[in-house]
Amino acid sequence: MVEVLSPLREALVQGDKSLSQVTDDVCNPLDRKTSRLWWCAFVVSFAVMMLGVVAMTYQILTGIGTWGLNRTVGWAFDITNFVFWVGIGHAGTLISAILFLFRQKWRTAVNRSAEAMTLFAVMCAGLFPLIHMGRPWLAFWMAPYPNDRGSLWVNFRSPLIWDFFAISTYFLISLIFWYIGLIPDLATVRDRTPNGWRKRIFSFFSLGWNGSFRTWHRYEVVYLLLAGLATPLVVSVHSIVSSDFATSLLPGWHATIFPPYFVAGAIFSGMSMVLCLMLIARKVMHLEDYITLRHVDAMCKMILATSCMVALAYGIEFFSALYSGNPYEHFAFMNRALGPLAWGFWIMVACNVLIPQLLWFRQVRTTIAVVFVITIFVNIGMWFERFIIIVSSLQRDFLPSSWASYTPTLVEIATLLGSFGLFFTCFLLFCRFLPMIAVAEIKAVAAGQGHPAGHSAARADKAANGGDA
Amino acid sequence: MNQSLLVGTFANEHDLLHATKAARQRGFPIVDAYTPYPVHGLDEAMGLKPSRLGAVCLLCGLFGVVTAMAFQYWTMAIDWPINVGGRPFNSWPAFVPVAFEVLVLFAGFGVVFAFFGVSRLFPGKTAEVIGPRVSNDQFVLVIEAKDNAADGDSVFDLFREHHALATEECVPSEASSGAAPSFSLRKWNIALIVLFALIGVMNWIMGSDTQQHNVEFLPEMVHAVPYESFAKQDDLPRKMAMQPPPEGTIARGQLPLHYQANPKDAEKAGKELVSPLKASDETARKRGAVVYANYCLMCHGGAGEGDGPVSKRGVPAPPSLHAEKALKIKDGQIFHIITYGQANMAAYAAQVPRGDRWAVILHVRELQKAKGAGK
Repeated sequence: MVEVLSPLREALVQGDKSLSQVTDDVCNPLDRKTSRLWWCAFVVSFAVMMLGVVAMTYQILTGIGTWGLNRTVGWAFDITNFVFWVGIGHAGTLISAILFLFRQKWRTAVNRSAEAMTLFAVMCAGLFPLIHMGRPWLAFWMAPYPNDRGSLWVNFRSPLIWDFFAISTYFLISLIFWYIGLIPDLATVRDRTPNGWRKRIFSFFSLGWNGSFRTWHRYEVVYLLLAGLATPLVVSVHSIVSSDFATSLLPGWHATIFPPYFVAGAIFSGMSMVLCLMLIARKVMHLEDYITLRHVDAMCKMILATSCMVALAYGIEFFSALYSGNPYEHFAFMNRALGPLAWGFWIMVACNVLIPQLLWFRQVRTTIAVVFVITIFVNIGMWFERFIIIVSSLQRDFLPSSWASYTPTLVEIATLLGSFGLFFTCFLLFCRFLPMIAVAEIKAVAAGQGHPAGHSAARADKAANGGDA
Repeated sequence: MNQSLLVGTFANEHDLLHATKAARQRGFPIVDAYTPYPVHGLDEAMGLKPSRLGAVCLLCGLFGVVTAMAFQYWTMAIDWPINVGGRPFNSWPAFVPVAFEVLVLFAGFGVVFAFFGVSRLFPGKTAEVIGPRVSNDQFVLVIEAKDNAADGDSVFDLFREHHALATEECVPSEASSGAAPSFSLRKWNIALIVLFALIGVMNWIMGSDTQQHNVEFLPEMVHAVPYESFAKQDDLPRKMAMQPPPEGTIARGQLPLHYQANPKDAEKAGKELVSPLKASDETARKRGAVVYANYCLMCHGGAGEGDGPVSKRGVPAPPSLHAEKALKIKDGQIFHIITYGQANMAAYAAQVPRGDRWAVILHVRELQKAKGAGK
């Protein structure tokens, strides 16, 4: 077994790095002075986040009457943004857990930042239902705790409660998974940082990690177990999110295809977001040797595959509506494609189904600029998908007398922008203060692929051992 | 036991792996290896047993799922059963999603904390770093020096055979031998036990007052500033906050009509009641047309001929509004008929408010006038 690297495949880490070079490449940006580019990006993100904070403060003080909702369209921007952000988060878990189980080594270059992205996206997602409650300071009522009202318990038969459990579990497990992956790298940074407050912080959070192999041995088991737990978790989370819709009786929502359809859509949008951020990061942080064209290629293929799944789901939805013989279903889908929100529907189809088809071509997949544009289109399209599913199904309900339309208010738009501000602010802080690439993991990959340090013997030895690729 | 430790530093995983295998073959007691990343095959080379964390994870997961299912069953079926359309209280399939999430949560956190515990990792622990570059690019093997086979020279020979970068003998001091952290851990544990004991004793001494509210967060909604309507109020008559309204008070929109639902009272109403609306009131006439279309048309027909759509489907047709009798009938009597019903016609008091009744009468007169003009 001469590794997974056939001569036809490019190396995952380029430039024949030694182990210390890998450490330096990843950790040096943390020691350098903050670049002007970083400051510009941070100031912009922070300002946008502040805009969101102002909007949120205003709407919490005033009430959610500041939104464009009405009696017919009771869910719109808020839930759209919630589903959008949760979906973005799912790619992080996909890369860190599912690709780990499938032994896809290319994940090591991107999993750390993808997991961070998951955390930040789930934080953004959590904001929206919280504000939607109207009285967010009573959010703890969602938790089943003994109280002096009965005890009155939450209704465990409601998908909204499932959602509460799913999202909070997802956040906690993603956090611990991310942190477990971070511990050895925190130790690496600790050991190369001169004494001072930074070293003290890294010492505190690296839990006294000293690279003991007895600990590594257990660490690998824990990491594998967490990956095994996170994999069904990520599927369950978006299935439950889709149950918020699918368990209702509304035509356009009441569909058994929703769980797999939502999961595929989530991975689709999340992958595009990861790729989009990675393309920026590899350029800005000079990580071209780690996030190579091969990584971009692999992620493009995943985007293409999930795009096709999503397209299939769109088709199946229309087919089920037709085949059901239910006039209300017929109407809901005709309305979706040809009704007042048809423009949104066709943006969604163009961005999610048509544009990603370009990725069939190798030339497109290897042209960074084009891939970048496509990922942005996909994100726009996926936002519209949620908007269309929610609003177009609601706005024309069973009684024509209650038909209504929906336009977002400035407050809602500012809140959406603010969530992007929060996301990018967190992400920029992460890039600045933590190793963006899983150093320990990528060292294993770099050592495994054989470089000048005379590793051919090691490889032969591994082959003899039947060692893992 | 201040046994000295023999430390060999290597440049790559291959050398470390071979050195470890050789050391094991020669029966040297391997203390540990220190590496920048998990080296594959080193666990076998060191002879480490498979970790039991998998079992911990399984147990935590099982505990989570059983707890979640039991808790949901208890709350939904025993403590606070809610009848949802006559469905069983123990609707266990609906409990599966939450049970699954709790399973993952317990299993994940259980195994991570078990890992931290068994590996003695905790926040703020001072790392006992064997070499500054272990977390960067060096691999270290530590062997315990024994007097018999594993004396310093033979071990160092083995290290050098495998291209060791450096070899070193070190005597672990008390501080770094692992006793210190466990001691401080024990201190923490004792402090915790004392704390819990204190809380328990305080709780027992102070007792609990079930009459008192717990700490309330944002209590404005619960404790209103004004008097509660039905609360006790000693300084007021009847000792109640809410006082009876003055004699003869009439609730809004509830103006009484002192008539019975019989033909005699209908005639009486015809004599006594006068429409508050003028025939020239354009707004009222338009409103009357709307009310007529909504509530009267289906029986009486668009023009009042008594040929509304339902009369064609078996409902007894009402007499025409243009009949001799209907033309003579007074406004007040029509008002009585709309309010209380007559013969087959039901009472419309609940659907058509007072003002609308007078408005619809205007419309009926309009229809009658139009028909009369047509004759």
